[in-house]
Amino acid sequence: MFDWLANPNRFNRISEKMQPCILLIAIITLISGLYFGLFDSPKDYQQGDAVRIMYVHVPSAWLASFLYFSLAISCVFYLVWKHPLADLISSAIAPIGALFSALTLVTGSLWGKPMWGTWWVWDARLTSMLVLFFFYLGYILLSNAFERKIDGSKTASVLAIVGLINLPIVKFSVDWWHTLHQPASIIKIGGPSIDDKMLLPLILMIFALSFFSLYMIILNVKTKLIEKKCEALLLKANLEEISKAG
Amino acid sequence: MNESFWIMQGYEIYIWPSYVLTLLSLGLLFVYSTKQSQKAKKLLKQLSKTKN
Amino acid sequence: MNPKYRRLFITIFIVLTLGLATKLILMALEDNIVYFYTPNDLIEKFGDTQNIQNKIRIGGLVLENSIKKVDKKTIFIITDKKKEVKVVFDGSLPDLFREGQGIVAEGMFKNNNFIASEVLAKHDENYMPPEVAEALKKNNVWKGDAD
Repeated sequence: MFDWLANPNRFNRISEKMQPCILLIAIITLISGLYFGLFDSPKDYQQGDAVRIMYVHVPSAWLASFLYFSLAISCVFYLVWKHPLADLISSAIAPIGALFSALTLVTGSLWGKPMWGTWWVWDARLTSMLVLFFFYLGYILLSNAFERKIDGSKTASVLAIVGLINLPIVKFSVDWWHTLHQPASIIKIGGPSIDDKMLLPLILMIFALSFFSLYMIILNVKTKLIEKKCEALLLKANLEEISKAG
Repeated sequence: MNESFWIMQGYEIYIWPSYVLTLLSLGLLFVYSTKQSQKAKKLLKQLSKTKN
Repeated sequence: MNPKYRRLFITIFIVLTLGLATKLILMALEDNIVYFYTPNDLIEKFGDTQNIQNKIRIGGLVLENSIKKVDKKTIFIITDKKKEVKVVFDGSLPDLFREGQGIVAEGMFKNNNFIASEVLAKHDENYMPPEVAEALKKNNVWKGDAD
C-alpha cells in the first residue's frame, strides 16, 4: 500500500491536479480570515483589541505542532520502510514547521507584553514551544551535517522521532502545571470557551495556514524530486564521458 | 477608514507587527519556493536537451 | 522476523521508553516546572510563610475590594479562595490588572507580607465580546475569572 503511495510519478500526477485547488482554498480562507480577524470581530471583554493577535498566534502554534507530528510520522516511514520519498517529505516539512514555531514565539511575545506585562517567561508552555523550535532546527542542521546525504537523513530522522516526546508536553503543559499561559480554548472538555464571532476568524486562519503549508510542502517535494532527477542525469552524463575517454 | 481602527485601543504596536510578520513570512516562503521550483525545472530541461 | 517489522518494533520500543523516562524526569522536576504556587500550595508545601527565604512566584486572583494605593505602592491580596497572601508592589502594573483578575507576582516574603518585584497578569481561556460577558454576569451564569 505504501509503495503505491510512495511512487513519485503518481505523486506528481495527483499533486498536479490538486495544487491549484489547495492554493485557491488557502487564499480564500486567508483573505476572509484576515477580514473577520481585523475588521469584523468583536473586542474581547478583558483584552479589548489585543485579542486579535490570537488569530495569527494560535494558527501558527497549531501548525507548528501538527507539522511536527507529520514530520515525525514521515521520519518513521523513512526509517522503517526506507522510502526515499518520505525523506523528501520530511525535509520539505521541517523548514515550514520551524517558520511557524518561530512565528508562534514572536507573535506570542507581542501578545504577552501588553496582556501579561512581559515579553517572555520561562513557564512550561513557552519553554516547551521553544524546545519544539530547537527540534526543528536540530533536524534541519543534522540532515545536512553529514558527507553522505543518507547518513544525515537517518540521524535527523531519529532526532525528529525522539522530539515527538515534547509534543504532548507542549499541548498539555497548561493543564499539568501552573503556567502563566492560559489553557486551551477550542479543544477542551465541554466545548470551546470562545465566542462564535471570534471562533470564525480563528478557524478560517487555521484553515488558511494549513492549506498554505500543504501547498508549500507539495511544491517543495516536487522541486526536490526534480533536483534528484537532475543529479541522476548529471551523474549519467559524467559516467558516459568517463567511459568514452577510457 | 476611521482613525480608531488603526490605533486599536493603543495595541496597534503589538497587533500590526504580528500580522505583518506572519503575512511577510508566508509571502517570502511562497516566492522563494516558487523560484527554487522554476530553477529546478529549467535545469532539468537543459540537461535533457544536452543529452539528446 | 521481517526486517521492516523489526525496525518498526524497535522504533515503537524506543519511543515508549523515552516517553516513560521523560515522564519520570518531569515528575522529579515538578517543583522547577510549576511557574507559580497558589497561596494554598505554599502553606501545604512550606507550612508557614516564614520558612520561605527564596524568591518565589505566587499566583491567584486579586481579591475584590483589596487594592489600596499607599504612596506609590500598590497593596492588594492574592487569593485562591482557600488562603490569602498580602502583596506589596512598587512598580508598573499590566493593563489587565484589576480586581478579580488572575495574576502572578514574583518576590519574597517579609514579615508575612509578600514584597513583589514583578506583577504579571494571567488571563483566562474564555474569549467573548463585552456584551456577552455582561449578559452572563447579569444572569448569574458567570463561571468566574481564571484560576
